[in-house]
Amino acid sequence: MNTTTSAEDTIAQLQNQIAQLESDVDLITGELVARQDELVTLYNLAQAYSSILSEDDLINITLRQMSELLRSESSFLVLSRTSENITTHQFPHNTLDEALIMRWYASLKVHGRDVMITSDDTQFPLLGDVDAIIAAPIVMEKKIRGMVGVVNKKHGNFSAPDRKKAFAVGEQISSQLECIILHEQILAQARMQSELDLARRVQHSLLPQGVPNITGLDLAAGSTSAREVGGDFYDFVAKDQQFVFALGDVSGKGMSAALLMAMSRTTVRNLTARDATVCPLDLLETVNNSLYDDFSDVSMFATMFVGAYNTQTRKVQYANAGHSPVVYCPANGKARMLEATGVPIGVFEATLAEQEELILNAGDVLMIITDGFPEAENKKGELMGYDILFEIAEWGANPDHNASAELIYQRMELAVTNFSGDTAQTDDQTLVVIKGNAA
Amino acid sequence: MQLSEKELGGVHILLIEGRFDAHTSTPATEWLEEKSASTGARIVINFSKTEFIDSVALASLVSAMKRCRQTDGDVVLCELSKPVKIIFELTRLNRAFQIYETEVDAMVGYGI
Repeated sequence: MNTTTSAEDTIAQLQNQIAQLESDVDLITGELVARQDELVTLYNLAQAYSSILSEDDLINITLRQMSELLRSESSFLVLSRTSENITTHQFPHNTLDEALIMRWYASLKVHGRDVMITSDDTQFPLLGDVDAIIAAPIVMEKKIRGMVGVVNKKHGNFSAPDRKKAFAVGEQISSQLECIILHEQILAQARMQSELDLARRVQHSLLPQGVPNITGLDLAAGSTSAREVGGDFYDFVAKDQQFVFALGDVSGKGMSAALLMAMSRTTVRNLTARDATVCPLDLLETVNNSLYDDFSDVSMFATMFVGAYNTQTRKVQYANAGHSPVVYCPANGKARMLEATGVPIGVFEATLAEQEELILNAGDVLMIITDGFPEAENKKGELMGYDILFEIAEWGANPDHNASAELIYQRMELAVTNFSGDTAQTDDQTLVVIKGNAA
Repeated sequence: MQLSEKELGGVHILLIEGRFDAHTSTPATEWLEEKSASTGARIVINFSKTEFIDSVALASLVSAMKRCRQTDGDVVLCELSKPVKIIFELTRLNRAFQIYETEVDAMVGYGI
């Protein structure tokens, strides 16, 4: 009898142990399934990140997967590109009060980049249906630029591993956002570069392609911008016995100078096209009248030299609105600077200019230069100066050298290259060389 | 470039030391913009220690001068160093600005 009872007890104990083991196996299996689900979610997140290129897609996928990973009722994200540009995102939409999210974000920012927020933390407000939150900072370029988090665990409470997972997602989305922003910046730069290339080509097309054949003159001209686009221009208009040549330099560089350069060149071209016999002084005054307001509005001005050469008389009439340097050297003579005859375009409503004249005989050299040449710098920060301009003009006007305008132009280019060496060009360099030759 | 500023009898005086050009002009340009923004601003720029001036710097001076003159103020120049004097003569901007030999003359010009 005792033996039977003892056997039954043993069986009952064994059955209890089996039931306990089965229960443990169920728990472990449940846990394994949960971990597997998480692994699948993390895998999906990693897969999605590898192909995301837009910020919106990244945010939407992160919010969905984070909610799934942490088994939360909802998820939220704050992104602050600048202090003025802060956006909030939620999954599902409109389940949380936006002002509340911003209060959490403000609190997180105060506590620094490594702070996590949970429902245990009494410093963070939890209102309405919110029982618990976990939020991790989004850090870009070592600064807190946002926050990603979840609200209310569907079953039970958020655990310590949940905090780690949220933090991992925060780190992951931070680096993904940095990649996207970098990608956007590269794209924007490429777009800008392509627009600048186009602007450079358009601007280049505004300059004369080659030089005209003018009786009694030998010409050479060229312009090199310090950036993609520049503020220098020159133009030639020949009609009947009159040859008009103009050179301008808008103060400043880059796009603003280039736009004003295009306007100046077009105004000069329109005026000379309308009346090829226009005198330089009238031309300058009309240009100033037309463009004064435009230059004044942007606090810029342009220097401009306009000359009109008569092929019969070899006389050059010129007016010079603040442009320098203009170097004149008679054949076999001493070079001298032709001073401006008026203030630059855009300074006053009138240029206060006067008109001067000179005769350009065979062998005489006239060089109209922009300040990018004399102000070219070498690596010591020294400026090339004016003396070399006089030397080149005198070399070109020396009959022994029999120098063409093109050769004088090349000598100037060589001088500036030799002087500057590897030092980057800081200002636009434009040069028009006019040499009198046998008619 | 180094700037030294002072105010005497309501006249703002700026001494520009070194190069005043596209690379260095920002502090001086900002100073000019700030001072010329007030109605009837009277400004003196002392160029005695200025080694070089370029067209970008000239543009900021012209801009400040025009702004001041709109409200009966002015930007006047004094003690032009040789390189600065040459640039003002070459560009004929010496016709646009009132230029004085000394800072005292400039103050007298303002009636101080």
